[in-house]
Amino acid sequence: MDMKSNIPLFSSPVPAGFPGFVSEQVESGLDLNEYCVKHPSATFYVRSSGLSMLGAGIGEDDILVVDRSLEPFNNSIVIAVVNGGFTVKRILKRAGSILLMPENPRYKPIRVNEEMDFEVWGVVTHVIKKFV
Amino acid sequence: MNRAIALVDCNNFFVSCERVFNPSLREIPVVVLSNNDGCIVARSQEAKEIGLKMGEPVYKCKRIIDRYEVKMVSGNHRLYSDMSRRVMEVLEVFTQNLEIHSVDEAFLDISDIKPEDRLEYAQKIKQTIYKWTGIPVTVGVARSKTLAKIATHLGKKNDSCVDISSHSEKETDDILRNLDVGDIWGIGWRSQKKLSSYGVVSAYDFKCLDSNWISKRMGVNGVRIQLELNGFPSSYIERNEDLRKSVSHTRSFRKYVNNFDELSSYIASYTSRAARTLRKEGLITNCLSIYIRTNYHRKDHKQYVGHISLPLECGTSDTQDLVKRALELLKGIYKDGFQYKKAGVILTDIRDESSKQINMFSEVRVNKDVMKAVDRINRKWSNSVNLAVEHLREEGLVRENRRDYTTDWNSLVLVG
Repeated sequence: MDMKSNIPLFSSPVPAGFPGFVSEQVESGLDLNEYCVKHPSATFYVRSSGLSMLGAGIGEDDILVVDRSLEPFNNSIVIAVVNGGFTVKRILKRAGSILLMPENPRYKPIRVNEEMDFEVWGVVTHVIKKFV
Repeated sequence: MNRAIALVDCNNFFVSCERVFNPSLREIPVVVLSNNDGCIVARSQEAKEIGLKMGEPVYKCKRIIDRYEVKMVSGNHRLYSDMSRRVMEVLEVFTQNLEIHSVDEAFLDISDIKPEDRLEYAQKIKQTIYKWTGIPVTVGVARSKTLAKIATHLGKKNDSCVDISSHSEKETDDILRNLDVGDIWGIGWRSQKKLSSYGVVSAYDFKCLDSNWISKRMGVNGVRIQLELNGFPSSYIERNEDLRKSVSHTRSFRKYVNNFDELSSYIASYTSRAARTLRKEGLITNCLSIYIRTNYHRKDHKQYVGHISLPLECGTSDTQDLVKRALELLKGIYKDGFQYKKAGVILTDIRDESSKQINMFSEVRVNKDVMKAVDRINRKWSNSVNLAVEHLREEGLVRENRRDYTTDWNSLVLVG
């Protein structure tokens, strides 16, 4: 059963400190699903379990929104399968070779070669961090 | 216009679902187990090749499982339902002329695609489903559903799409000559035995039979199959949205009801009526919901509305089955101290009854009785048959508590 949380928002910004005249109606609420998920059939959520992408803003236990329908473009953050395990890295395509780059000086890049079992699982479109 | 029907059939569906979220299961023998981990309900290609059979109790296969280090995974129907939904949604992007046949098969009417483009279209479907969901499928295209099943069967042999919709009769006959009559959709082992006693061994033999002969011995269904083998579709794509969306039975009570027993007899009777309607229309349901409520017009009465939905592991129209579940659901929402005025039973996710799947998780066609006995024994004496199972469990069973990867926030795949 769906539980959507719609937060109504005024459709035009109210200038602070000015008793302006808000004429617009309150629109139907904002849906986070609609914002994050463009291709529901191809969108999955995974949880980050390491710090290799700290520099990109991905921390421990964050939720990543992954869209499998997108083409991984150069510099995009992807979930990849490398030798049977998942990893989240930035993908760099350079002169015919593929590099999986971490964003943390403590981690080494992974150079993808023919012997490796490699596949892009999906493109990370959003990261969701929980504070409370 | 050359009619064309495509059958999209997921490869080793349950195993494939698990492999999307656990890539370490790829390219090795994997089996999915029934409730209580008693029997094999799905096998990867590698598991098939080492001789593991559908429906076999796990303890019987111990030697093979140990020798080949077969990975065993407990069945997880929530995951499989969700992945099935995704695959079907991708298909809807291609065409609205879609008939969902089972959890892992769908027929599409692609008559509008030019004959010379159909194979490429089938390949596009296969690629898109794999990219978007990770599920590998085989697509077979032909002039009828029965032939499409045959095309898919051929395609599975080398993981490719097959289009026989433009084949000449001679080309189709060549294919049928190489197929057992028992491999035809709709001809089960009983019919196969009977037919072979008449010398009818291949699908081609069957196609060549006199239709009156078939009609006498197999009825109108047999004739229908023969027509389809000849490329004449005897049934068209029945869009799931053309079926009823729901069957429900909801009524207000004449008097107020304030006890569980009375309420349960209403729920039982409403469920049974709804099930009867399903059967009358040749339908099955995959989701059961019930609700109970007080009279909101009576401000002096304490108010309560309870409702609950249960997706079913397998489609059914069986009264006993549905009533049993409805009463279990009622236990979950019933609260004492209220004057109930109305109750309802709603059956949704309606499918045609021809798509009824054997309940993969608690009944397997081949070794049904054995499997039931194994589960019974396991339940009663957790130390007997379970000894073998437990041992296997520690060795090969994928140890993860909840694998509802796509339906439970606490079960998401971890990515390092």
